[in-house]
Amino acid sequence: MKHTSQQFEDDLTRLKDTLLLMGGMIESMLQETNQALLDNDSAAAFKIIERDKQLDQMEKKVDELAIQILALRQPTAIDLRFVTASMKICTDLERMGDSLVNICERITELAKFPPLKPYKDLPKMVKLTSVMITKALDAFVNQSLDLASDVLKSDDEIDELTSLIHRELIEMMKNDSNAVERAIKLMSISKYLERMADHATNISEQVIFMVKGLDIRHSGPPKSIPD
Amino acid sequence: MPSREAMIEQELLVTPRILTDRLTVKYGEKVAVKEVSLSFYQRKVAALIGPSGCGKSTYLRSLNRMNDFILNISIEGKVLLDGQDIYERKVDPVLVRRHIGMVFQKPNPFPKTIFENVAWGPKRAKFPKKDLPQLVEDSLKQAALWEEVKDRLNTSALGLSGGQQQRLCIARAIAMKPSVLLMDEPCSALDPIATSRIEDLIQELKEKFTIIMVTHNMQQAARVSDVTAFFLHGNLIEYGATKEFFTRPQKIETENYLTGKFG
Repeated sequence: MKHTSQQFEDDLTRLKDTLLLMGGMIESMLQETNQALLDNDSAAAFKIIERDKQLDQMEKKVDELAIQILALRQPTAIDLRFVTASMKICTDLERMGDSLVNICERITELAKFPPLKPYKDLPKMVKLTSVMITKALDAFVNQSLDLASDVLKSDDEIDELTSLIHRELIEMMKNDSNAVERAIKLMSISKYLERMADHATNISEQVIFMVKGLDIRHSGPPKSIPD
Repeated sequence: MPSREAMIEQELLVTPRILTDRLTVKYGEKVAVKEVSLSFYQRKVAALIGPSGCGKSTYLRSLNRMNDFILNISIEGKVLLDGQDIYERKVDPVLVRRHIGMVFQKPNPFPKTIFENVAWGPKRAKFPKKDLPQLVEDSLKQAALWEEVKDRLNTSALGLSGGQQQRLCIARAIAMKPSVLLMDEPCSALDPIATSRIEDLIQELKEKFTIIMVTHNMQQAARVSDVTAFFLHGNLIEYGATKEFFTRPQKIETENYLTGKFG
């Protein structure tokens, strides 16, 4: 069902499209970051860092559009929830961009050394984070509570992977002092990935608020969405 | 043990001041309001919203028998003011309107002085003449108009601005010391500043009166009311706390109306 005002409809669509553009950019930057890590490629990492500036501009664009809609249209009900959720989601996406920058900075520093070991769990973490981001964005587009709920469930898995990676790296540092510098950088990469997954979780919480008007933040482990 | 005053206070908050029980209003064969049951409480502002022709104004006007003037109208169900059915045969509609005052869309002061406008109703109702000056002053103060007109009470009310005229009409309504105030789009003919003053005034008046207002301005309903009722095609679709109503309505019809959707 469409809004009576075509202009209002267009404004909301533009807001959604800009957010999706941001999300799409994050997804592709994450894949490129993964490749740069595997290839130990600092040039590729620098390119990704540069792209973050576009994300920053898009964040400002989303806020501007949202404020304009609030001021001119005074939205209510699901429209109000959509606009306020959009403002929060765009902050999460921008922070994801910042985390990617941090990861890429670590990659450029790691490029000076030979790899500590063949990476196995970090790519696994990238993959899971990427799936969470895609699902969170799909949940937003399709207003799907099921997809949003899936993302929330995946967060535990990410936390477990992070601990696993940290334990392994600590062992390596204990056994070989030459590994310390690289291990610390890899630890922070896993921490940044974990943070990105947290942002995907935040987005899903916003989707649930948008669809159901239900604020499930900070209410313990979310196993299922109440009716 | 709570004090007697506290108990009376509590009683007022939980007992409806005015309620309708399956109220149906028909113009000839056409049903304008279908079996609407709603309760309105002391110290609460209720907003009635809905598209044109949804029955909200007909419903409002049924609450103080303003519809009696319309030929061919028929009423079924009950309207209870403090437990008394106002449509019972023995009830005098003039008395009903004394207890349930009304403010209209367009300010409609009488072509008389400011003083006479406020004193007109109480005079007809045989209020003691010596009390009238104080009553006029109190009513104008409650309507937040006293400071602006106290030095020209004997000039024509038609010389006031639109916003002042509307506050004068509110003063005129509350001079009769009603328990319920009905407002039919009270700000639709006013500019934003005058509207803000009336909205603030409504917040003050609700301490003394049960207020029920019809408005097309949804932001106004959201700002001013405690509870909101949504009407569509003569049916009551949803009734609830305003805060929830505008952020997460329960019915899809309400959602579509609030967000301006069609088709």
